[in-house]
Amino acid sequence: MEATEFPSLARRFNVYAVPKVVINETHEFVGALPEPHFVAAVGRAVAGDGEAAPAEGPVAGETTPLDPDGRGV
Amino acid sequence: MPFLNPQDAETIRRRFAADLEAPVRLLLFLPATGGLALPGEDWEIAEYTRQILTEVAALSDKVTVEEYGLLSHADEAQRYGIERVPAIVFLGREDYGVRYLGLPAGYEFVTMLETIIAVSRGRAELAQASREVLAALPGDVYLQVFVTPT
Repeated sequence: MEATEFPSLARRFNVYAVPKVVINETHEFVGALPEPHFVAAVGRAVAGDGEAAPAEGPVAGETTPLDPDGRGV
Repeated sequence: MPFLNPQDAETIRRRFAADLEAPVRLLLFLPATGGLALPGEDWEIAEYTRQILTEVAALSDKVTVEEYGLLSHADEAQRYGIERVPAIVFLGREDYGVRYLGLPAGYEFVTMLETIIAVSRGRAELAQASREVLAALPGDVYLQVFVTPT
């Protein structure tokens, strides 16, 4: 979904950079993960492992700031 | 002015001819009609989305667009889980659960084309190891991917 057009959803899931993936509305990661890591993240989320909605940290893959100019989304 | 230039249109036409299998229905959910703009509804974006989909659908007999109003087709919106517009529902031989919310332009235009092809073929290009992990999941998983067009 296009983050800037749906700001309420983007706020709800703390989307500050894209791509951001939210799994079952409880788990998340930022960045374009390689397929095996993506699948593993889904597996962990479903199993209830790992942090729910973790704070942003260093991640694999490229991300783009959602609001690089700080104009507000 | 068309969204697609003639060269891009021809490239997509060839790609569709080579890769599409089953017919694909694109269900486009739009804001309320009749010139009544409700708060939070952006007709410009919806109109641009409609233009893009119409041009894409013209490039293959296997791709069709159907327009629905979020309010005037409340039953369909509920059936396909649409609460926000513009939204695109991708239907192939079955409903694989793929939706796109917002304007599919910029990089996301390519995402939309690849989604049309994937839904038409009815299979994802995933590694065997990934398939095994996903097949072992106990139920459906709801994935939301936030993107921007740039």
